[in-house]
Amino acid sequence: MARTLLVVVLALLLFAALATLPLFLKAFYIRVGLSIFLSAGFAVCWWLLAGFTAYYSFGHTAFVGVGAFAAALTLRAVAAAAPGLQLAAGLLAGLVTAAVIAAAIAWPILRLRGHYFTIAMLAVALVLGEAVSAFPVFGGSAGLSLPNIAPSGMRVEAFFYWLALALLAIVMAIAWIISRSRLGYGLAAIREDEDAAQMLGVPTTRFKVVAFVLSGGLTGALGAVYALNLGYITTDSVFRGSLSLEMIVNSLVGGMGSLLGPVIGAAIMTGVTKLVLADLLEYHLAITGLLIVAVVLVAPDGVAGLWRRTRR
Amino acid sequence: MTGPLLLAEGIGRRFGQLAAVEDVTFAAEAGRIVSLIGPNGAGKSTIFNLLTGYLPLSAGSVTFRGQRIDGMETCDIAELGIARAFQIARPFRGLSVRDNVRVGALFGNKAGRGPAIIDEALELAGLTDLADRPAAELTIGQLRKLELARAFAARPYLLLADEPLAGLVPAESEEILASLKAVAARGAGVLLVEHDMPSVMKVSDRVIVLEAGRLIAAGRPEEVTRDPRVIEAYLGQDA
Repeated sequence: MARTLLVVVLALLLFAALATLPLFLKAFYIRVGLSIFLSAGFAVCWWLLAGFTAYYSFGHTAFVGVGAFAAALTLRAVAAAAPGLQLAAGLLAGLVTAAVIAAAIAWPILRLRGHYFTIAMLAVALVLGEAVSAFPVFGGSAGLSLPNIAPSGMRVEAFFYWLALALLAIVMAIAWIISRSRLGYGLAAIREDEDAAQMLGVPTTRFKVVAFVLSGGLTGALGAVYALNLGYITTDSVFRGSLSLEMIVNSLVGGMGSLLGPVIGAAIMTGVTKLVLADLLEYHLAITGLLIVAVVLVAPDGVAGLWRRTRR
Repeated sequence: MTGPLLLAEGIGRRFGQLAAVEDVTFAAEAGRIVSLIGPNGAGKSTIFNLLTGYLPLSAGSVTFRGQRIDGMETCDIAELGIARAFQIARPFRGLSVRDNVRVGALFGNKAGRGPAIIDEALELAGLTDLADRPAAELTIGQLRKLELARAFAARPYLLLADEPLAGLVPAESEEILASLKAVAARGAGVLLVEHDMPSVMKVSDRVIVLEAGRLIAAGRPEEVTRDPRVIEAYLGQDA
């Protein structure tokens, strides 16, 4: 109990400290922070499914895209409302639409396991991307623009920094609460041995659906923030496969074994990309690839796993 | 509740043309150990899969504590108070011993859930000292105990123990048998599948003998060992 309290207090202090940074940092570094929080948020959402159940989705960008377009269309519908209401409507639209899509495909797709599920999710992302491109309501190849909803007088990058930080805190809190709940232990049992879990009484299908819908819905909410930050979206920008890849790589680099893993991975990969390799565009992907290979070889259970092992 | 703890009536399970279990009727009582014996392929583990809802029945019915449970989901049956320990230990290797047992407690009998059960089950299985060890580091004997601890934590009214003594040295077998007897002494019924005949005869209140999916004899241990059909089909002519 005391340890739980300590974790909560430390986490709150850390988030409070991070929240003060835009008051001191230059715009560039605020944007780097924003990118880290968004990447970490996406990675935690992906980890909510993959880390708990070992169902590795290669198509989570589907939920980013759905959330982004749902927010964009909703903001058009509530264009006359106050910016705060627009933001709430956009986030809610992203969350709910992605959750509904996830719920609609959950039952059939979660009957697949291993590589079959992984590839099926890749197909879902491709099909949804193509479908969105095909309908004029989504702007076709021209895409959709979103209004600036940052409060007047506030720096736009600082506004999105705080928004992304708040959402990251929320998804981390949800994941942490789940990890300590009956649902979390059931999902962990599914990850370790799904058949044994079922025979022991874990409602495997129900729990997987819950994790999938939660993961998809929260990814959709973050997708809405991602779109609002971009200000202009096309299917290529929000349904791109590299978004799924980033979620996976960040989680693997940081470590799949704990909630902090995806966040550490996002901080390392985004930090390296935006800060260290910013002037090495030609070698950027090669160096990133080498970094991933190095992490896999040296720390197959990620940076968090390496840290845990060295502590033993 | 009147009648037996569990009553399986005319249960059967077919896989295509193969009748893995056919027209088997038996009962399990609270506080008693009933053993299901028979050669490999007799249908013992299949019966466990049928009782827990992991496989649907092809025929017959199962009544548990006065309630029909055939056709129910495995998770719902577990919540009613039937727990199972596997023939081949299936620990959640990435979890600690305590968390393995916690899974049993969280998804077992709805009526008996609570944190105290975990320590109680660990103690009953003799795993208290290993509680924080990853399950992946346990020996075969310790894994058997973990299987039982996970099942104990479910606070079952009926425990299904599938070959809990397989691969164990005599001292470990004695510990497991003592744990099973302790569970029965607390009022739970135990259905035991086991090949170690001396152990079966020692702990069982009643023995059910299966051959090729059919029940060929049932009764007290000493009655069953004298049954000519059992001697011929299972124990051999020299028994």
